[in-house]
Amino acid sequence: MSSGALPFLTRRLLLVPLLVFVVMAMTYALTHVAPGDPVRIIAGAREIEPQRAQEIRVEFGLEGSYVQRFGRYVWGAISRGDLGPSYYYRSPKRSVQELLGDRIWVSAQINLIVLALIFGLGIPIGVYAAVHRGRWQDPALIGFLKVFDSIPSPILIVVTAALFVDGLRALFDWLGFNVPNVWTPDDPASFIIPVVALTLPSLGGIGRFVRVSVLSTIDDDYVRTARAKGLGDRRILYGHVLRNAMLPLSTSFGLAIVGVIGGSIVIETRYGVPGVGAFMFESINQRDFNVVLGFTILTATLFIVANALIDVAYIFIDPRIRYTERHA
Amino acid sequence: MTVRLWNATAQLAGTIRLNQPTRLMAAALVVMALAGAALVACGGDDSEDQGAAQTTRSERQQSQEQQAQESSQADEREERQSTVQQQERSQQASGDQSTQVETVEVAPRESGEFRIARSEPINLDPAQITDVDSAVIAVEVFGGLLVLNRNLAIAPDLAESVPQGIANSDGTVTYTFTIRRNATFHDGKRIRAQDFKWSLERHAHPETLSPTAPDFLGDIVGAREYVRGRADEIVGIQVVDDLTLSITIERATPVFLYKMTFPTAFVVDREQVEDDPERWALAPNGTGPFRLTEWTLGEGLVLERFDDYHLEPAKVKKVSIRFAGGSLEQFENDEVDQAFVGINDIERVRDPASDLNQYYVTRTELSVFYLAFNVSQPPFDDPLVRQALAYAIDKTTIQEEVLTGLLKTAHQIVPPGLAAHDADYRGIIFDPELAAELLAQSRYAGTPLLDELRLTIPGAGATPGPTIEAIQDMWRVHLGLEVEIQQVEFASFISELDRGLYGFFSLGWSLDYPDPHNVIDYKFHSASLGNDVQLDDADVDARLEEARYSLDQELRTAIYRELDRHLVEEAIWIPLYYSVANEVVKPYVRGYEPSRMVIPHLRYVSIDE
Repeated sequence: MSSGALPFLTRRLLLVPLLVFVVMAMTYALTHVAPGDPVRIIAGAREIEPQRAQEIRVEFGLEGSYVQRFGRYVWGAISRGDLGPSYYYRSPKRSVQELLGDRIWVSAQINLIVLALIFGLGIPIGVYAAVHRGRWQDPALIGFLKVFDSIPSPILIVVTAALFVDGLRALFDWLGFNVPNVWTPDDPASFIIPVVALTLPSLGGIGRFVRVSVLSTIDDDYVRTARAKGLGDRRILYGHVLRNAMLPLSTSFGLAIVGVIGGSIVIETRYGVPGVGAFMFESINQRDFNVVLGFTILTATLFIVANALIDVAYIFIDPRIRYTERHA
Repeated sequence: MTVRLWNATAQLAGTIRLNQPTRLMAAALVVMALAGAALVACGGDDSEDQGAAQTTRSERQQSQEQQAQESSQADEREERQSTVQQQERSQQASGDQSTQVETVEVAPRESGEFRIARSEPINLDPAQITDVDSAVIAVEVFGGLLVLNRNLAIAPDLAESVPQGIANSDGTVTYTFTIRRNATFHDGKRIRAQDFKWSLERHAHPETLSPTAPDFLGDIVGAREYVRGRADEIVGIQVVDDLTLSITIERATPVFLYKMTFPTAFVVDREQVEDDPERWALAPNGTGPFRLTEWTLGEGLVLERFDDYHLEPAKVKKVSIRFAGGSLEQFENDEVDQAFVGINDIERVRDPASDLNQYYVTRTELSVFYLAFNVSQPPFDDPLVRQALAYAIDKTTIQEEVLTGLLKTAHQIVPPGLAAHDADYRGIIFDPELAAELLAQSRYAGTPLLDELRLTIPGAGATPGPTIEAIQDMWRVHLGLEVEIQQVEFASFISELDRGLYGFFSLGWSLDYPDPHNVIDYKFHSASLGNDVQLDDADVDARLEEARYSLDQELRTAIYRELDRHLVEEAIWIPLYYSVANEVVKPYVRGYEPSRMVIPHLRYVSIDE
């Protein structure tokens, strides 16, 4: 390992808390200039006296200067992992992390399955398309998948539901279960429709990405060398082409992992999934600032950390990458 | 309680529903997809489009989230607009509805279990409740001295009887409540008068920050000082002995006993609240017919029968309430026993040929939706301008073509079901010629003020919704006025409305108790916090006070009717419609009826096994 790697690592990782802090400060500022007074959320539609309004602001830590409030918020987040109380759900008092926890988990379960499917199916699809370049299978497959990418998700979810609940009913009856046309707690079959509706549009993208990646390596010198050595197509593909072609994919995979804690607003609201996407949509509508703020910061932090980890991981994944200043 | 333009049940309408058109659409899309693939394949294009291939899931998701707010709202609105077409469609679709009902039962019902779908309660602390979703749960778990029965009459709950007020020499009135001997909290603890004094003082205490206490407890002697932190107790609430509580109010008013049925007057368990002031409401030790035994965030909650309930205990053993999902679908899948019908499904449910039709029940609720003017703001300080706008609205057309009977047209403020409602009264009847004439006579005729009229409504949708759009169109056609519709998110809307920023706005009001005082007095008395039309009319105030403090119900009814007509004919409010509960209930459910307002009603339900 070269000597420059460690300073790079240190610098890269030191950047993480700084970036997180900047994101926090900016998000916090944004939610506080957004329209809507939290006191209104707390009072509901009922008229309240100005004095009481002031008392409510104090109770919810909204008094003081921006710096003071932000300071309290950051300290709470760091020292206790506390993202503050929801302005909306107050008795019983609900913290942001409590409100988000289960919902993130519901969305994450869906997203993990989707992620596994996208990469599990997308990679073979891309490889298949690349290998069949110039023949009809390649554009047919990718074209077919791109159609799903082009359908807006509100329509796709309805179509998927129609197909699975109704169209394939005989099949599922035969398999002995029933796909509900709305999210049903404790029914694993509830996952089918959101998972399909989220997987289909992404398959084409990943498929094409892999295809391009494979095609760009397939003509490289070392492949030609391998072929010249008389290696079989299959061994060349798996032993040489794929290993290199998969490198760019690790970036998308890293970032996609972060996406796991998010939820699709459209799919979740339309299918009634009690996930974080639908909940964020509600919270924004209700101006439940702390919830919106907490989730944004959580996602941004994960994103920053994941990016840093990907950069670091590259050193190990691809020995050719050296973050050294000697060559710079 | 203020309500948004569409009632809570309409929110449940956003989820997917399958009918003939969707199936055709699905088939068409699959065909399109195949055709698309074939086309691309035949073209044999070999381009590598590097850039576009970079789509990762997380990027996709971000852009989806940005668009989703707009698009999902837009969908909802579009669906509302398409109700008229759905009427025709539903007739074709109804033929195959039958197949949907015969589905496999996913969640079998336990014996004695009643399963319903509701929205998640926001607050269960009775002192904090301002919304219907929370109130419907709270009234089943908690209780007060008095309650509204199913006829919306005041009945005793924890008190043995409804007391008569005794007038004192200084003009105050004292009510003496005797608490039932058999009344206990869910944990078996006896309820004493001290519990009530502590609870009401706790609800009104400045630190409790109850938004409702100043209003609902404010009639009690000393309550106003206490709420402002200027007194150590509410002197008007006195413990006579363990089972006797006396409450003295400043001045005789028939409204006080109604206020005692509102959650702000419910009793809570002092020990529990003091033990865990922030989280006790997760599993409150109440006094109502049901105990809250399970609450899963975002999913649902379970109410179990309180066997030692002081009145007749509930007939069902438990009520399972589900938050997630579109309830009509769950109803069809036999996952819930009762469901609300949203605007998307109403035609289907109303269709006599539909299987769902036999389960359909409906009832007008005590809430009114209206357009209103800030009468202190030009040009709306001229009654002629307001009347012109009112006369140009054709409510019959709106009812027939937009609302399709989903909601009930309102011609006056007080909703049906109250004595002050006059079913024959028609108020301002659509008259485009008169409307134009009134506008021409107005002192603002020809001034630029009329060219920049703006109606502000709460909302964030892509369109303001079919009713408002239809009305906007009527003004354009009949008055030549281009009224701009401005949508403002609900919380900001209410806060700016308070500050008198809007000249012309639309809102809904759901009555807290079945008395016209709660709308006519609350919304139009010059000193009321709810007076967002900024009306300051000494004559109206005098009449309102007369009704407020009169014990003569006939006189009160007459005054409210007269004021209602005055306000409608002066076009200070333009009532648009009353909301209607549209529900489906399984035939084996007995004793369930949709309520006109929030009252405890689940204990009357029984299930035929």
